[in-house]
Amino acid sequence: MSTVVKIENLVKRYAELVAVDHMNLSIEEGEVFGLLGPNGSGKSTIISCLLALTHFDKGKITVFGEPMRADNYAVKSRIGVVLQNVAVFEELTVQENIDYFCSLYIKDKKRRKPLVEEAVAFVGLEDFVRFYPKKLSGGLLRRLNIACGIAHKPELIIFDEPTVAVDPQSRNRILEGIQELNRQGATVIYTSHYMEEVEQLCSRIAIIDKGQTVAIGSKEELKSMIQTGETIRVEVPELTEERLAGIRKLPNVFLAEYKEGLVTVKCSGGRHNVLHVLEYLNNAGISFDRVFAEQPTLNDVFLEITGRELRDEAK
Amino acid sequence: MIHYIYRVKRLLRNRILFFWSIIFPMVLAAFFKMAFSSITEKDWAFETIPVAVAAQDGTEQDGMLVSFLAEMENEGTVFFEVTEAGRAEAEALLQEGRVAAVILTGEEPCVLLRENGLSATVVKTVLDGYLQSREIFTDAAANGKLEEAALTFATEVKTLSVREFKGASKDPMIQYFQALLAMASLYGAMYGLTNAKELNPGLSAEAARRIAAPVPRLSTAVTDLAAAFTIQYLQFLILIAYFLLILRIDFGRISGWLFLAGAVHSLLGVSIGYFIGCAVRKKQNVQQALMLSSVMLSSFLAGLMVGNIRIEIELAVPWLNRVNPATLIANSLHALCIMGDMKQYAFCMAGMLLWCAVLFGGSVAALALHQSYERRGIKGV
Repeated sequence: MSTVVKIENLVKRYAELVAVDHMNLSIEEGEVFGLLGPNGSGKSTIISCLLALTHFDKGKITVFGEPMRADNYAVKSRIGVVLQNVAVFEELTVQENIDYFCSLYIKDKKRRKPLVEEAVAFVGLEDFVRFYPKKLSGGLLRRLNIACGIAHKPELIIFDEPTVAVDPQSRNRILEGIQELNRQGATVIYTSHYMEEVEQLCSRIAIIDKGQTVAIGSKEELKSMIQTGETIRVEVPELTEERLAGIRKLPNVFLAEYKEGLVTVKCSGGRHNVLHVLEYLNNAGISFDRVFAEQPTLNDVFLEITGRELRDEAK
Repeated sequence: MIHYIYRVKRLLRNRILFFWSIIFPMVLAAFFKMAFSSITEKDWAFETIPVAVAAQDGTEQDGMLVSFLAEMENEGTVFFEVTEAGRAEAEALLQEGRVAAVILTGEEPCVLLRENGLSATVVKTVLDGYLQSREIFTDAAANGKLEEAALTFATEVKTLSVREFKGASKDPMIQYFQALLAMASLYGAMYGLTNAKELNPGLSAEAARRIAAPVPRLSTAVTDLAAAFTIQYLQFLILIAYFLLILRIDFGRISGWLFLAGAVHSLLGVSIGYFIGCAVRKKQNVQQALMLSSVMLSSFLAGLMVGNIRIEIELAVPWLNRVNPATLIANSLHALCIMGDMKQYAFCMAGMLLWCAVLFGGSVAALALHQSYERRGIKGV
């Protein structure tokens, strides 16, 4: 596998704000690489720098082994872009929009025609080709946005939060589409603040915060970096501080807290942790209601590393 | 070519742009026509024009001009009712509306007017013809061909002057329609503004997608400009046809130069939009508001709402008439269709082309400046 994108020591400032702070990334061919971080963490700025849409202050970006510049049209022709905001023209129909954006990459009409048809079929807009964008629902509009970015069959596709404000059905279709594109050979960069999507899609993930990479690896590797192995939540109507201290002394438990009728217990690996907690409550004569046990999420990774909730930041 | 075609398609399908640049001027023109029709009919017949002739300070009265004016007639109607007066008295007569114009004689004769229209056109044209012929006469006299020169002066001037009016518009409200055409041309700024927005990745996602593609930005800009110019020029042609064929407005002489003027007007309108889009780093609605208010102010100063405002400006701040884009457009039409003054027409055209160069240059400079500020992390540009 060859390196498709290499970002070295990238710095981008907006006045006093450092949007990207000495960022290093390397993305290999055939990967679905996720950039995960809360809003304002610098994900879109990294994409803008990568596409040469904006100047950066320091560092080096190489794409397909060549320095990325605004006038490097050979490299640009191998990239597809699906931006966070829908970028289609209201005055052109679905088919015309796809054809127009495809024509920016492929001049020959005969070559373009089957590609446009394929893109229409890929996103399932066959019944809407003569529709204008304002007649499409939010989900269909997002699909059109994707078709405009992929019709020319790019080798590297950048998706910048493509599922924002999309209904679950369309979201699933979009995610399946991205997986299919990857299976067809495209390298994908996927930015999102939805950790579930990133977990589902990406073979490697970089967690971004304040313009810096705070962790990088596969989801398993990221989860193994933190202390949390399992999180157990038990609904308990009443719990004294003494009993809570007892829970904290159980094997593998490194954190236990009680808030609004819910005990949250964090364990660092080990086995039978749920059993230990329930046995303790039972033996102490404490009644409890529902019990939840969760494996660590990327939110836990973000929380442990940055001290803040990824999900809360994303709202 | 495909990008140009798609661009033209997009601009044609944009209903808001279409409304402002063609429907709105058409509707306004129809209202003007309805409002002015009674005035026009009343003023259609040619009537004797009262003028005052006064000598400029330190000079003597031009008796030859006075008798020349008094003798002029067209189809039995005397052109001018001439009053000889001192300058102050003549200006007072003009203020009171008892004369339509004051001709100040001297080294550099000039005309003072209360309002534009047919009377003003007649007086200016006759004076121009008289001065040209006087020059010929003086030169001929200096070369010893006095008799020949006298004959020329006696016949050529009157013929020239009468011929000049015959092609000109007799519609006293023509300046409103000229200003309206100027406004419609300047509404081409909306196309320029749209183009600028879609070239700047910081302003729209569509621009980001286009700039991310392997097409040089300059090529995209030129294609967009060509499409915007095409649409704007097409709208100019439609408006001219609408004025002439539907509203039957007497626009005066129609020649090929009018279509060249239309091309420059269209380019000027588009370049204003480009400049605002590139130089004003604000949200699109702020840019639109600025653009519309600039166009309306410029058109107002060119006489869209107050017909004789150009004359008032000429008397008070003449330089404003030389730089106001809408006035340049209206004056180029006036010079071409009413006065038949190609020198004035060329002056206006040069002024407009200079504006275009400044605005396009300014747009490129503003983009470069913005990028330089962005590189240095300076905010608020």
